[in-house]
Amino acid sequence: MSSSTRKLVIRAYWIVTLLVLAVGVWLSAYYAPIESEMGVIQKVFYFHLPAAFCMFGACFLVFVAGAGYLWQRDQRWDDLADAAAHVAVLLASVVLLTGMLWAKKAWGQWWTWSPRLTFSLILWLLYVVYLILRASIDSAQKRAMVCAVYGVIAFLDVPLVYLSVKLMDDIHPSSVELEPSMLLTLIVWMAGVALLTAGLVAGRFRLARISHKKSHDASGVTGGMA
Amino acid sequence: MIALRQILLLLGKDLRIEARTRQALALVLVLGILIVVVLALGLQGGNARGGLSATAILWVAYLFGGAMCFEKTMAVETHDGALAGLLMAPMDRGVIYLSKLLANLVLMATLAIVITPVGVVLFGFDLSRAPLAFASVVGASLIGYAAIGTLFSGLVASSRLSGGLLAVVVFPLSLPLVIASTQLLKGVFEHGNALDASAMGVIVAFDVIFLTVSWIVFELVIEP
Amino acid sequence: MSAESFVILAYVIGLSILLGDGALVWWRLRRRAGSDHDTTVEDRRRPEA
Repeated sequence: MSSSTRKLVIRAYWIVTLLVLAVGVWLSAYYAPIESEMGVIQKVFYFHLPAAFCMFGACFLVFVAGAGYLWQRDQRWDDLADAAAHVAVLLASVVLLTGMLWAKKAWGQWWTWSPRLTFSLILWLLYVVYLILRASIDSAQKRAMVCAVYGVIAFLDVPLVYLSVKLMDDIHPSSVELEPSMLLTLIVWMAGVALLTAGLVAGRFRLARISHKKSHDASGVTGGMA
Repeated sequence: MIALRQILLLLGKDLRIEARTRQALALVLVLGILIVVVLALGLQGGNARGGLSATAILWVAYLFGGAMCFEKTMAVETHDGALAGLLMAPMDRGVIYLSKLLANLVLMATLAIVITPVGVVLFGFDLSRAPLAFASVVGASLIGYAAIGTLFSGLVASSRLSGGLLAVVVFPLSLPLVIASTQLLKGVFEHGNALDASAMGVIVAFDVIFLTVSWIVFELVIEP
Repeated sequence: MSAESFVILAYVIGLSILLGDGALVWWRLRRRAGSDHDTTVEDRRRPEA
């Protein structure tokens, strides 16, 4: 693909993403009905849940990239893990912040040690530590290795965290009955946040590739971009 | 059989070094006691009011003391190219992992045996109600903690990371153990329940998963 | 604060974190791409010379 076509595709991708997000904002503001039990604050849900889903996706990508690196020792896997971990932390922050705003209005407290809040907090911690680990190793190869191992182990930790927080007392009802209009809004948001997540990961991946290409040009390492 | 003999050989080497220098153990024990004392003073001004806060405080001491153990047992190998020599020895690297794991477990068991009574006394925690349940929960948890701790201490040693980082890396990973065991102990000591199977399942699953994964991965990553 | 303003705040914070990161990456990519372009021109010249 020539660089001008690529530019065009990337531009089209971002325009579509922003359009979907704009439609999502409009839908949740004017189209989705106000939930009978919780009221207006329930509308945070349309953003909160897709962010949580994409956070899992990004964490899974860190795991896949880590396993890929351990298997093939290809720098590209490490760049992918780096990009995915950054986005995972961003999404986890979004999940935590929107969740806290929701909790404050719905239950009157910024924070309760409910299983799901605890779960997102621990996930956030796990991947923030991943970024700290990355930042504290100088040698690119050692960094890739240590982070790949951590990425794999952290993802295997996620189901255990989930099981352990389920042992705690939960005061919040779990299921929300979704009307068709609510479901449509949720689907649009799901698509928008997923596109945004994929775009962010791809952008960060490309950034990492370019900086590696430049620093390794002398040693003849070539960098390709999917 | 050969692997077992190799493990015991390496374990004996580590424990002999420790017994002669007494570097790690003294440090770890004093650190553990200090943590318990500082928290006891900070929380209640020495006016211990029993109950489950003791288990939380003991967990803090186990975690920090454990991280110190991992660092110390691996630091033995970083001097004078000892790690390179060890890796050149004709043995499976899984053997090195298991021997280090056992050395860490011996040190952590000593730590637990010393500081648990300190915590019990300072917090007026009635351990006699279910000592076996307490021992099995803490024992199973510490095995899982040592499994990831040994793996990451190997990584830290072979990539020359700063020491404080090890604690930052292993603490969040071990949170499922902390949550599951505190929930278990709450059930046992506050409500007089038997050991909850699903919580114990989380701890055992943690042990099994991370022992296996660490044992496999250690081989890939350890470098002089 | 009313529930509406909480909802708006949640959306604004969340979207600005994600889109803000997107803008940051875009800006860095543009800067890199600019200088990267120069080096490739350099590289192309070298074998001919």
